[in-house]
Amino acid sequence: MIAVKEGVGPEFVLLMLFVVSLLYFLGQARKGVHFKIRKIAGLDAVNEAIGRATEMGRSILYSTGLEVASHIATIASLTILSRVARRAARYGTRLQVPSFDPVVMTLAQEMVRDSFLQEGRIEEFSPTDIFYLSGEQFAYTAAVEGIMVREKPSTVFLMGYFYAESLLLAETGNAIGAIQIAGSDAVTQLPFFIVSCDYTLIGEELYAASAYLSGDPIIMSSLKAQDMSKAVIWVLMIVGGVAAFAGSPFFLAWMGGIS
Amino acid sequence: MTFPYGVVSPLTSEGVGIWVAAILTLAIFSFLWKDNPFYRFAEHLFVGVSSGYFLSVYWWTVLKPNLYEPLVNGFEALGARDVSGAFGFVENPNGGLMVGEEPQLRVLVPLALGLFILLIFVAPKYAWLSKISFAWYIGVASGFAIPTALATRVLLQMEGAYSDFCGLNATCAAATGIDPISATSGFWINAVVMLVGTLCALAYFFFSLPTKGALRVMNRVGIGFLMVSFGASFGYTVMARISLLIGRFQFLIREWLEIA
Repeated sequence: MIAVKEGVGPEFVLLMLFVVSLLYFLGQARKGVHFKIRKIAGLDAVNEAIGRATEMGRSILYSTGLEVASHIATIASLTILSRVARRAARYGTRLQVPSFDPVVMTLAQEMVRDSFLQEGRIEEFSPTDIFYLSGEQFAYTAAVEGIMVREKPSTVFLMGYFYAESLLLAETGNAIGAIQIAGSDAVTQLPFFIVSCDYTLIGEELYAASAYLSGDPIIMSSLKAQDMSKAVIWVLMIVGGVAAFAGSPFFLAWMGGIS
Repeated sequence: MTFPYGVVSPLTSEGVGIWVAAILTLAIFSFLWKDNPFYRFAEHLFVGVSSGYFLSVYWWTVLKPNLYEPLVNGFEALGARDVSGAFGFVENPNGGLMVGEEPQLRVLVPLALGLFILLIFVAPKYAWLSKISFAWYIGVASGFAIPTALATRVLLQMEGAYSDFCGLNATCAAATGIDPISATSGFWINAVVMLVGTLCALAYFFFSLPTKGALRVMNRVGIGFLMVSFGASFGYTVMARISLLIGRFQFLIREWLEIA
């Protein structure tokens, strides 16, 4: 018999639902079913932004945000970084990754190295371009701003979790005329990215980016499974609202909203 | 020594700190004009000092209590031929041994995982071992993060989207202990807007469905809700940033220049 810790029933059900739908859509993808994904402008612009840096002979600056490697947004950012690094390696464009956290720096170094290896350009990989700056928020910000105005990267990626430094970074990128693509699930910082960057990935678009950029049907099946989970959540909210209005507290009680 | 306009003297212990802070503040502000040697100096000083500070913090809050002390205690226990104690095992009241709260030499496992990461820099030939460390780190962290994210970002949001409807119904309110809310038109509107806004905003994040028909309309409404929320957040945060700026100016004017 499976025992579920008391109080985490809804989390368990949602997680199982996601796992089952993921396995189902994975099976469908393996059978050759092709999933159509709607266009995400910010991700379609990634190749254009890298191409621009190549044409101008300038570098790309990629920030993974100010969170540690275990943060969901940082993991999503690192997977996008590996896609960006592959393109940069293919075109021979310099990619700089200033890091806030030493573990993130090491992970980023490994991912970029792998990307250069996959493109057969390992001799062009420069580990010193993926470097640690500072674990202090505004020291990191000041240093990245300094790099922006001195190196004048043509393309700036701000992907991950950001705090109060978001506008400082995005405005400096804007001031040097870089094409900027931002992505974050930090709700309070997204407005600043929206007003000062060319493209912004909002919340879950950041998580979807890796599958979207890969174009691999197997990986895209995870997006389909996520959509299925969202559809269930969508239905549960309507049913919960109707049930509450009709006088049934069942859903509120089940979700722990009441004791 | 007298300074014009009553500027605080830099020759006192308090004054030195104020002068250094004021000069560094102005050096950072100079970036508004353009990149210049003063900004570069402040930037490099800031990065260097913060790195040194964090190295000290990591030692006192991470490495010493979580690695150095357990290792010392573990080896001391091993020296006293207390093998089970050296690995942090304690007597179980029901007989036998159980895992104790102090890890002692069990920290050799995370130490090894940490050293594997260092191999990337010191022995690239064995850098592949770092993948074990990273897999462990990301796997365990995701295992902790996903249920938490589900509980705080999904379930709470779902609950918040429709819980107001319970307050509108006397039976549901009585059963749940929620304060019954008088069903004024304003409250009705709020409950409906919350639910519709959440449903439409969620609809915007359906990636694999064609955006046409009803979903297209919901997408548009959803992005409208998101933008209104971002606008409100923008205004609120800008106000907070302005207050930070005012704080800096107050420091320069009151503490450094000693005006007012």
